[in-house]
Amino acid sequence: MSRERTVPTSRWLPGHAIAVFSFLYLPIVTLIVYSFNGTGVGGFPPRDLTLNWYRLLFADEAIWT
Amino acid sequence: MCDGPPSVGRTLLSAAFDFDFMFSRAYRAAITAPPLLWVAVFLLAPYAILFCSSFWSVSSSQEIVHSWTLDNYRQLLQVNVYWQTLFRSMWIAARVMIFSLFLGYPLAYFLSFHAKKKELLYQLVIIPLWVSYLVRAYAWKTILGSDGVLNTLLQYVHLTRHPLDFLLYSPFAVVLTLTHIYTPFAFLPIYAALEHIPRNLVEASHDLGASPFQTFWRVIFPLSIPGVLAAATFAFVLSLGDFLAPLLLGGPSGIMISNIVVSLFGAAYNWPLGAAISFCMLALVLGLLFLSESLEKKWSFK
Repeated sequence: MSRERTVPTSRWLPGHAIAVFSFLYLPIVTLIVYSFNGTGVGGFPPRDLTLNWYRLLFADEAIWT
Repeated sequence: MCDGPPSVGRTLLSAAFDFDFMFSRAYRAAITAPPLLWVAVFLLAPYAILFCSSFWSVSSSQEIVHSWTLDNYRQLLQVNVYWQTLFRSMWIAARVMIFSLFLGYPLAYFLSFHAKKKELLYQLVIIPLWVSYLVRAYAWKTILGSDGVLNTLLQYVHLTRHPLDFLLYSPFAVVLTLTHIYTPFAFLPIYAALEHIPRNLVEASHDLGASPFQTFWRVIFPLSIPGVLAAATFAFVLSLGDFLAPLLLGGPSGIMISNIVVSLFGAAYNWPLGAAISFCMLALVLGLLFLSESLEKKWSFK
């Protein structure tokens, strides 16, 4: 399209967009990944992958009532 | 719009709605009264009470004395902690504003002028807003802590030997978290401003021989300034009054003015002083809003 030549463009722009999106999604993705982490909070790489936290969550009466 | 004889539909319409009544003074008063009342009772009245209580004082037996004094404002000027914390909050808010503009503006420009799937990307900016603020603040805590994801990653790849302790419980953590939270807020008004630029202006600029960079700096950027001002105001004002991020991630060096207000209203039980600080902040924020409003008027092309 002709618009491509009328306004400035740069190959940095998509790179910047990807960087911003990764910044926005980093905590959310981390939170999801570490919800399967066996050894509590933190640590890299995630170890002892487990569904135990979800089992505890669904077994907790107080949350669901 | 239609100068011809009134159509059947139009006649029916004006029979159904009495236009004279709709625009009468009584009708307007009736329809604006409930929201005005709501604002007066639930917004202005609490502010008035807060304003009055900023002139009261607390007796030695921890009772609020309803006599008028300027002591709270005097204390505000004399005690260094309050001023220093207020300036630190403004400095944190200023950094959040600058970073979210630098993240938000190029992203908005890319989406508006270059992106192929702009609707999808727009939704992708909005989605993080659906995740609770508190959850995102805790997620940053998981990432930045001394046994957190980032520190253990840096040690895992042998970039550092010991955990970096400036990452969490520091102004850095507060700025990072607030930037993360307010970047979408900064993006939205800029994107809206860029989307409203008539594309034929860009083409006209091109036809008159302007280079792409001249078009950007002399057409696109000036027209997007109202959006930038709105974004800057959003980011600055919202992060200035924030108290959750400094509470969770700030530590002693990252305390902000709202934390002081919260503790004055809570544990310290000094509502009058808390109210005085709140009012100074309110005055500051209102000043900024008026400033941005007048700048926006100056820069909006109509």
